[in-house]
Amino acid sequence: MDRKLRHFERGEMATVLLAVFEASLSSVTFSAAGHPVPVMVEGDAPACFVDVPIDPPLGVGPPPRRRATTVALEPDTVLCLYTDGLVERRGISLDDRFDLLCESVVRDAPEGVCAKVMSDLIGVEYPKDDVSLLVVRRTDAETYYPLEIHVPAQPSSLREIRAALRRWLASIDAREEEVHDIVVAVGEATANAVEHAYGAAGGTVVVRAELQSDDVFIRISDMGRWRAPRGVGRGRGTLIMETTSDEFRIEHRIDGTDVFLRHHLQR
Amino acid sequence: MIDPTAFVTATADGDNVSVVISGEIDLANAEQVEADIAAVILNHCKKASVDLSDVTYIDSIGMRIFFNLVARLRTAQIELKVIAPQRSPARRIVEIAGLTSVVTVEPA
Repeated sequence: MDRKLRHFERGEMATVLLAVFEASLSSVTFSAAGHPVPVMVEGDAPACFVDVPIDPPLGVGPPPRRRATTVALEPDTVLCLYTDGLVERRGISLDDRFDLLCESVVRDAPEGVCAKVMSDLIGVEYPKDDVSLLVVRRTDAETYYPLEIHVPAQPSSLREIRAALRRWLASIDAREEEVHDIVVAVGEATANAVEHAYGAAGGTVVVRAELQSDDVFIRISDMGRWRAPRGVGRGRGTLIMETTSDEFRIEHRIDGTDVFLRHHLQR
Repeated sequence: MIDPTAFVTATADGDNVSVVISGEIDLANAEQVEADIAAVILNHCKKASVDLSDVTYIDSIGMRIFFNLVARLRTAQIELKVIAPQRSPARRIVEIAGLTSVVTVEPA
């Protein structure tokens, strides 16, 4: 983004706060480019600013080495991200405004927190600068749910499937090595469907996963007909699926193909 | 997706080049990652190391890159070493796919 700004919008400057959530939602990584840091409310503690070092804004000065800070995200934690228009007010010290923001953010539903922050910091005033406010709360599914994903059979879907699967595996408390194995087995099966099931017309890949006692059962379905693998070294995918699963089979239906995987979890 | 999911960085030291790959390698970006690696291992190199410690996802499609690389560098007479720590996602796949039988794979 810095390079794009320097190239296409010379002389312009922008501040950015980037937040990337871990697929399991257990942590979030921030990088700040001249942007005020987020507010976090965790457990019963009062709201505080997340300790993120602020690097220079985009577009100005020599391109700096940017720092990233990862913080753990407990269930129910609230994060508040905002632009400077929310806190800057002519004639009032910025420290006082930041204190006011901290007092305003509470651990509650994001809609309510947004309304409260806007009311406390902007009120009926007409703001001079534009204001964006984003409140995020980590909510976890309280009960077990089976996973079902329908995505277009294209390479860019694979990443989406992995992210959804990792979240689901975190919700059933699979261990790290088990997550790696299951994600790679499903990755192989879904990549096969993307590569071999459909011709130019394309189609859909469906991934269903469920937990039955300590076994994860996964079915990857497509509505196409697998052609013979092309190229060398393609047997490796099958070998990886066999080795990373406790059970693996390919079932050809009249109208498509299912890959069935079972993985026993160590509890 | 506009953002790349894997990054390839290289540091050269005389005739040696160290390549570090981070992120996820799949069908969507394997070709790009392969091209990125090829672009940093120059002809004058004598030794190359490829570090997979920070690779968070790789499957048989990604493995293809490294089997191809082993063959290419053997022809070019460039010594190759792959780094994949024990218990890392890449290590597991490197072992299952049998990359360890064709190239030196070190834990660090």
